[in-house]
Amino acid sequence: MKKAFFYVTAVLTGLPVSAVAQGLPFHTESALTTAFEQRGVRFLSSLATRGDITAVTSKVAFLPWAPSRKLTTRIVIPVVYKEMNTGSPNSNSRFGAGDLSLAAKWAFFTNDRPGGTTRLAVVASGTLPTGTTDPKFDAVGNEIRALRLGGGAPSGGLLLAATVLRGRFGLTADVGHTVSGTDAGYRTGEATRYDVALSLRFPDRIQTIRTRTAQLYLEWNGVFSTRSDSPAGVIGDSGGHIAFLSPGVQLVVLPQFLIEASVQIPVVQDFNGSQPTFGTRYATGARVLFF
Amino acid sequence: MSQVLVNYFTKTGAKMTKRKSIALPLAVLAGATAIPTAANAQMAEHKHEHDGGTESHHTMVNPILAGANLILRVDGMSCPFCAFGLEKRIREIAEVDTVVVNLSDGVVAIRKIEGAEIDDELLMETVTDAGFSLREITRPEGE
Repeated sequence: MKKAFFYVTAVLTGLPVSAVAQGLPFHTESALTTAFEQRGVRFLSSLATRGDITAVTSKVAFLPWAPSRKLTTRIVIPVVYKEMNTGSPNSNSRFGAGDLSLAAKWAFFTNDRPGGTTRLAVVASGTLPTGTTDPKFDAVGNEIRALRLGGGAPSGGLLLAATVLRGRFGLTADVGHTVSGTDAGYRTGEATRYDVALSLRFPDRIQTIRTRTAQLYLEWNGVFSTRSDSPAGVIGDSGGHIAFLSPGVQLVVLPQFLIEASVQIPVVQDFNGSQPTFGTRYATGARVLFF
Repeated sequence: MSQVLVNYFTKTGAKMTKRKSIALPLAVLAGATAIPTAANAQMAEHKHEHDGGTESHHTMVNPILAGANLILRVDGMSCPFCAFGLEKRIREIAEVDTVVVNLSDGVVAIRKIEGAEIDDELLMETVTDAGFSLREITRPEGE
């Protein structure tokens, strides 16, 4: 089970791109690089459970530099609370900074049309091992790696995003790959993520951008992971395929302010070996434009 | 890659033509000088005498911004959150008094400061920098 905790840690902290998607969909990376990407802040809190581990992650995403409308950057600072509840005196928790992530998006294709657009972008991202990795031990002295707040090693990824908007309807999709470094002989398996998001806006017609709108989303968020490595060799009980069906809603209260909420329901949990399963994940957030 | 003729009217009503390298569907080309649906409802077509003879065009009674001097047709706008950046950038132009963005019609209506002029190139640059595509600039009659 100790090996499985390692994988839990990787999943809960090793998806730097999905948690900070900056386009309009909640979890799916968008190819848009307008407005929010150029001057904005996103606040996001999520609650995730897997096995005995519960993680609450709050993230602040800044968009510090946008040299052109086709190139934007972002920094994500996470604060993480993790708790392992075994129902015994061995229950444990930890709170502190998570791994800092950086990303740059380049929109290399744009085809605008009245009331819509088609865009493609690539996103290069990296995670720095800034999160706490001080060990926590169980009653018999084994480290509970799942309680680490940071991955302990840098990771990097490349992602392709596509966004098609036609009036009130939107389709966004992405596919990306992330590779992690090694920390004391441990290395998280490579992860290939894929996401699809359908969106529907209410009301259909917007007279001015002051019109308050709501967007409904239905996303599919999946990750394929290879097995992780440990000093003792490949961890058999790691890696696999996880996918969530994620309905969500965004309310654009003001042109420069929106609030959002999403539920991620695990619908595919095809893991290698014996691993704890995911519970439903919840996320809420807000995005603010500063000019 | 086709080119579209962007037509606009000067203060005297004389028709000017300017070439912009913007690809457009034929259907859009056909309606290039028209204001989209919501604005059409309050737009009257009539004829004026000009130096070069009689010419048919439109008089703008813009429904989203009374007294608008400039009407921009902007492609690529689909969400208010994205379009806000465009409004903000246009408002930063010193000669602009008021700006209103109509998202569904892809129209940006601008009322200038009295007596001020706004160069087309500046408008093009502003819209482009905001992440959208400027398809047409219309200067309503009398401006």
